[in-house]
Amino acid sequence: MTHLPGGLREDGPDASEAPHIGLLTQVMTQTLDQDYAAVARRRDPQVPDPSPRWRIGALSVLLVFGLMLGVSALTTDQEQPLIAAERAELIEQIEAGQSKLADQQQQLAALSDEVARMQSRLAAELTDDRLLSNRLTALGVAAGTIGVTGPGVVVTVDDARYTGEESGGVVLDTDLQLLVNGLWEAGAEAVSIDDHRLTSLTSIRLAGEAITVDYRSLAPPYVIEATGDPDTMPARLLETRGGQFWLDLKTNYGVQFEIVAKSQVSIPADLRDHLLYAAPRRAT
Amino acid sequence: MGLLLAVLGFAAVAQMRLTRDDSDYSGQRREVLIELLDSLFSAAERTLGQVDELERTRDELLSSSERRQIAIDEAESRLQVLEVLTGTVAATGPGVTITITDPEDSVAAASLLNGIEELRDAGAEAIEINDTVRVVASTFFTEQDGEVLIDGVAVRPPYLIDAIGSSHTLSEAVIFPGGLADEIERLGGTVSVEEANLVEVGSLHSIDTPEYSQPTEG
Repeated sequence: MTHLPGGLREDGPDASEAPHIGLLTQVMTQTLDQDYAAVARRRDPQVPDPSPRWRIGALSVLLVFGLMLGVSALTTDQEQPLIAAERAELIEQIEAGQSKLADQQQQLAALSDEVARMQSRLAAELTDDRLLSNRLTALGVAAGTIGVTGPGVVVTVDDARYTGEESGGVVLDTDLQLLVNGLWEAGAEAVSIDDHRLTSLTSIRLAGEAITVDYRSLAPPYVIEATGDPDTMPARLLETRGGQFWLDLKTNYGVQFEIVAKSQVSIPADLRDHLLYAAPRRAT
Repeated sequence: MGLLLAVLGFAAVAQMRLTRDDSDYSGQRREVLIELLDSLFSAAERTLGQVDELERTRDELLSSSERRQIAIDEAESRLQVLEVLTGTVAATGPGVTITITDPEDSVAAASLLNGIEELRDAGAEAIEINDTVRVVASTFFTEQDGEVLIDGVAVRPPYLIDAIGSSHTLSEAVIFPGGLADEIERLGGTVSVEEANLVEVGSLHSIDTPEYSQPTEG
């Protein structure tokens, strides 16, 4: 029966609980000891049979036990509020903590879902953005709002060294128009005159005595640069009507006309990308 | 007898305890309860930390999403302008419709090219000829067998030029002395300009991927 005290020590060997457990243990142990003693006495042949005195003793043990049990129960009940209050408070805190943690975990799960959704949407958007960015670049290159670099040709033209009374030796806006027209025909991808990018909005005009490109007056010599195949462009340009025209100008009027293939030319951007009148009309 | 009493006592005390055992934790030791409470606290702290971190991430994502939306809106409007400039989208707006007749078959590519340059100079933002060819930066005018070709496509008179821009400025440019009207009339043709509040430039130009040009930005 040695497991008995252990079985009662459910609350642990806490000092505050020791008294009543100790008391109970004492009651049990004493009772057992007395029992064992009695049995031992009975088995001992030299000890006479139990007398009425023993019965009185047993009765008093029973009495003591009942008293002890009563006291123990009373004590337990008296000490109960203190221990129970502490336990109840602990349990209350645990339950509150658990419900709070459950709430937080729910919030965490919801947030985690939200962030995951946003991230996957962002990933999809990044692909869209890349497509949009690529399209902007392609259109910007074609429109002339993005500068380009690459192989190509440099065409340098100038008025004739001696321009007499006949005006044939002076380069006109229409001459440059035909030259640029020839370059596009010869496969140019981007063209500039004196570092002014030619776009769909750019005009080559004569204003007063000067040629203007995009409303800016230029002075000879004019340097026209174009990206494109450097191997074929010079020859192709000379085959065009513009090229033929310029060869004629060079031969008959002494204007300067020089085509040089280059491994790299740089065509700047024209930053005008604002429209005042035209609006896109999309298919509805 | 003693054994009986012991069992009786144990049962009595156990019963007293059992009657109070209605909570899940009542059977637990106090240390276990305190340990449980401690681990609850640290779990709550951990969770709160994770919540904070996720909230920061979410806020960053939200603000980057807002920034992206602004950038996208900006890009979309730039895209629209670029599509008009490159002739990859149909365009509408005020402008002029110019009709050029050429009864003597003497209007050459160079005259049309010069006319286009005049319109560009007058601020034309979108141009098309004969409702078939969109004029962009790289558009070139050639001749073959007495016919005018624009970007390699044959166009026949009368030439109909739609141009979007300030209709008054465009019309002035055409009839300006020494301008397109004078030149065509010198060649035996006629030029009529009609100003309109709404000109449709519906033909499209398709852009090829450049083989030699590398963008220096973007």
